[in-house]
Amino acid sequence: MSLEEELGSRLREVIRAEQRAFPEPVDLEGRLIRAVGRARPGPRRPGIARELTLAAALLLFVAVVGGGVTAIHWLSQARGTATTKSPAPTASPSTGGGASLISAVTFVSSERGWVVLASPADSGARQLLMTVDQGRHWSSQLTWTGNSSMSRNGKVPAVLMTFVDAAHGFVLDPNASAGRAVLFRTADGGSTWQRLALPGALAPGSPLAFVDPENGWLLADVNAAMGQSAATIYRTRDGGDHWTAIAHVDYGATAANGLSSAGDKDSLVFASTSTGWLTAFTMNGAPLVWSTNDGGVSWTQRPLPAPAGINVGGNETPLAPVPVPGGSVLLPVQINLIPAPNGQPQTVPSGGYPSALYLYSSAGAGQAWSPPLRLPASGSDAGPLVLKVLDRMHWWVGSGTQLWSTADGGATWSTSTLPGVLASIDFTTASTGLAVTVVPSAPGTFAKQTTLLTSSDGGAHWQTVSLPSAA
Amino acid sequence: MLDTERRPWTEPLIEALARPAYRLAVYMSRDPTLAQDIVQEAFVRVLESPNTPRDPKAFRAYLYRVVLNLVRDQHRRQSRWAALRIFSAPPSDPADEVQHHHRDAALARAMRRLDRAQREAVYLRFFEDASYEEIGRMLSRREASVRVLVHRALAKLRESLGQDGLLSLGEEA
Repeated sequence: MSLEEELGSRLREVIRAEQRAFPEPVDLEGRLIRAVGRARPGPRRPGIARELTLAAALLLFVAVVGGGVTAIHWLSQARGTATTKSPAPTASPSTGGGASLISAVTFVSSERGWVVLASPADSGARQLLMTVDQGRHWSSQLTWTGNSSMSRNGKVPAVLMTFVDAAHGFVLDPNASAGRAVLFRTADGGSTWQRLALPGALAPGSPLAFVDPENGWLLADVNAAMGQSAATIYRTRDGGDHWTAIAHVDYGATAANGLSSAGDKDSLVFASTSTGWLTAFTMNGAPLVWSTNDGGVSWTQRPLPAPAGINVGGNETPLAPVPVPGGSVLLPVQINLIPAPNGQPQTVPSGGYPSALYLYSSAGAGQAWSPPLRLPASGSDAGPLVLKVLDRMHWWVGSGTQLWSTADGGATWSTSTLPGVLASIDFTTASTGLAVTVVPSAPGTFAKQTTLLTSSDGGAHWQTVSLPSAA
Repeated sequence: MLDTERRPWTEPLIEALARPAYRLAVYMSRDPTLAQDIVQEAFVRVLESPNTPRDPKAFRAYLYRVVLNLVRDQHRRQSRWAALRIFSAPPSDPADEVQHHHRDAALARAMRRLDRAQREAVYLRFFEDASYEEIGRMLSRREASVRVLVHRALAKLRESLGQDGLLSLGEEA
């Protein structure tokens, strides 16, 4: 081997090792496409304008990265590892609002995002579409056949989707094939998709969490009954290719790892490869929360203080915990507002009891929880309660056509009205967000129509995004 | 937003070259935040130019030349910027240091002792596998000049490793 060859080989390793000390930026390509798109061919722009553009782009980048650390979760079970090559992207003209139902939507930046469409009559057809220009054009990346399975918002077929960065994403259909879940994974921004196997039957809430493209956890084999449940927690370190059981508790037992069979295990969320939370629903008390600091091997249950001023007699549904930058965590809980027993027969309102969202917080990654803050929205059959927590300060909560937003951690709220009933909401920065609204139908049936909306002013105003009809 | 005329040829170039260009910028600047800004600025400048080549190989040479020029510009201004810098390169992980081969650590130190032009040429030659002709276009030098630059850089690396008592590399050369 010549000097040049030998040195070249070793230099490559040395340079790679040094480069690994620096983080790979998230969505660098999206940032560049946006920046280049703003620039026009021709004479150079004045320097100051360029500096401002750079500063704005940098702020957007930081905000996206900040918002992007939110853990990811869903459900599924699948077999097979076939890789599907996406059709070549096309700048397909979009049709109007569309009768297809939006089952899931996620954006990694203001311009790059994905939606899953279901056929309006839910024939089972599912289609994943991607945009890189705020929804002006969409390209189909994946199609599969699902099964009727209502999402938790009770309005659209359940599909869960997340992207940990612009390249790595997962799509989970919990009930796609003979009642079994299907998990798809991409590592190249959707150009190709791989169908993965999962080791157990998934818990009903948000049972799958990834903190990066490799490290993920799965809450499975819950088998809840009579207010108790078993559980097995699986761990992957290679993006879902292999899963290892790292913690287990039997039904009716307490395990040495700190888990017990109390409650219906529901959701599993991780903020890092060490810190995570597991939640459970109980029939007659506050939800249960366990936390781990060793990647899910051992767990400690942490009590939640009761909300003040309301009758708490069960009917408290924990949503998935939300890790926020800085090491703290928020836990939203939806509580049905049932009057306290007074010795007299009580009549249940025709639309059911109203519900409210309470937000618990913990500065110590779930070591101790503060008394909850009641959020402004009230839920009813008219529409589900929807919530987005971007960071410690910026939250959005909605019900029906009303949306409340705060930029100071709930101290003050602004309201706006959307042109439809909210089914879900998401924000990638304090200003840039999207919402799915529905035209409701009878309870227990899918919505008649869904619409995708975007906002660039924190939710004060919304614009409709056109989507093609499902294939 | 890319317009429909530029989208078909610019977007694949961005997808293909954004991260290699970033790695070049971060290796030369040792500042990931600055490297991202430099790569963005480089793409904007290159794609604004009416003379930008559309051939991927020529485009890469053009882009890298702008990236390296911007890194040099930043280093020239470094004293002015030093007080304002918020982010700095993360310290090396002691565990990583232990894992690294002793000789590779010495080689990394030796690389840092090269002057800027030599380091650029060595990076492009050995990490990017660029030809001398391509490096010449990237560094605005003649091919023969690049060969001399790389030759001298290798000699300097050998000398540094020898001073560290670690010379076994290429002793036959």
